[in-house]
Amino acid sequence: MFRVTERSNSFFSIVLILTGVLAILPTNWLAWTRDLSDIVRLPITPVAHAGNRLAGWLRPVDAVDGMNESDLRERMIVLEDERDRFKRLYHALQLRTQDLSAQLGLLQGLPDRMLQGPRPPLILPTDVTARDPGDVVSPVEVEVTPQIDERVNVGDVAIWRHEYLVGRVASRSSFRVTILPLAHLDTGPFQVAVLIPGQEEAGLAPPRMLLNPLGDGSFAGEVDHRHGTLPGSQVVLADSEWPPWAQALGVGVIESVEQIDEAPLRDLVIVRPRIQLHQLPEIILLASDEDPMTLTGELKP
Amino acid sequence: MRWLVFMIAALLATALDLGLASAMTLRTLDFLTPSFAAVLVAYTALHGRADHVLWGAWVIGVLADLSPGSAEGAEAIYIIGPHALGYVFGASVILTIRSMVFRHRVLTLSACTFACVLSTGLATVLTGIIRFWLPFTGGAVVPFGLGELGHSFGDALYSGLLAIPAGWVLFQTMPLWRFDYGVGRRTA
Repeated sequence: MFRVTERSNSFFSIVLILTGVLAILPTNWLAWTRDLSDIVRLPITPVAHAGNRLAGWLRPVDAVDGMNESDLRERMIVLEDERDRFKRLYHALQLRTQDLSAQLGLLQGLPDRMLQGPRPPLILPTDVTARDPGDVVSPVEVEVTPQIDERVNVGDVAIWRHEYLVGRVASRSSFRVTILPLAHLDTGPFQVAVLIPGQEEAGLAPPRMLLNPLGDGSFAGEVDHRHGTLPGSQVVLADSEWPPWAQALGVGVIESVEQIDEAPLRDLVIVRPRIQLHQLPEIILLASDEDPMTLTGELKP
Repeated sequence: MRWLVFMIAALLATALDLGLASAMTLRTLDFLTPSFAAVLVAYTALHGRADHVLWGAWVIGVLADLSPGSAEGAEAIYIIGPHALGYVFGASVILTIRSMVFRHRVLTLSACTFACVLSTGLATVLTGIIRFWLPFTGGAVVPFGLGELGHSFGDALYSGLLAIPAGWVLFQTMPLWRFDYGVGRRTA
């Protein structure tokens, strides 16, 4: 057996008991641990940041699902075609919106400013400085650049490659911005649309459902059986509670569809993200680009 | 044991766990990830004075609990305890058995690292269960369950493997540490 001096032993026992008590303190009594963590991070973050960059360089994250080079080339061609089609649709919709806004303005006598669409967001790429690579739903922290410090707010969204929604800003301070993954239980349920192949061309509206994070990195939701939802279908965000620029960003892919015995007209759908937040060495934050003016045109103090 | 060397090594190991360890994550195997900090705990536990070892394990545990990236929940709360208690428990186990093992063998370090990570997993699960059942803690912030325990077992195995090359590097730095525990089995 090992021996320690009696005095040191009793002091250490007290420290251990205190540690045990700290571990079970109520969550709302532990806000001070954030300050303690800010002190701990001072020497750790630079090395961890460098390690994350090195890890990202050594093992880049991709979402190509094992496609070879020719598959990727074909996919690029399809994507370019789609991009051009959506550009045309976007411009047509912009013109239509302008027409409708003008008509609505005439009818209601509202100022033009009230009828303008949301401004495009600020795009703020940033490096992940700390993550727990073994925990699928662990929050990550990102580098706080002056622009991020100034513009990012709680609730802003984190994306990857302008295509996938990966998380949301959970807390921010001058030292840290913490992003909570989309699949974290605390993110709560959100509404999505299912893009079933073939239905878009047929002009059918995509079915919507409420997705609930399961805590293991995946989501579950229920959808009407008559829509014929298929595994492999893409799921995109369609929730008005989220910022407008987050709409239609990819959430994941349907992994399985099972008819519910108790409710045969409903299907239980399991959705898995193509990419998890904790895998990424860098992300993009989309922040509101609102100028400091009120809707009536006055400058905010 | 030189505390300055220990503190530098502890900060470096914690930073490596938060950064470089993600390059070694097994993405297809439930994201199993090795722990550099556990290797350091096992290394010091095999060679240091008992009281130094226990304090060292506690310090590394607290660093791991407070390190950026280990925040829990939407409020980004840091729970001090799972790693701090787990590493101390793991170090105690190693202190108990170290007089019976070949302390200067990398394989011994590998087995001890396995024990350290597993004990941390147990401490995390226990903390999670206690926090879940106590009415005043604010619910389940620390994850727990059989899945979590299985994941810890996988992490422990993987960390044991990492301890082979990392341990070799640590053994090369032995003179820097000035360990003062000289009793125990040694290979010729």
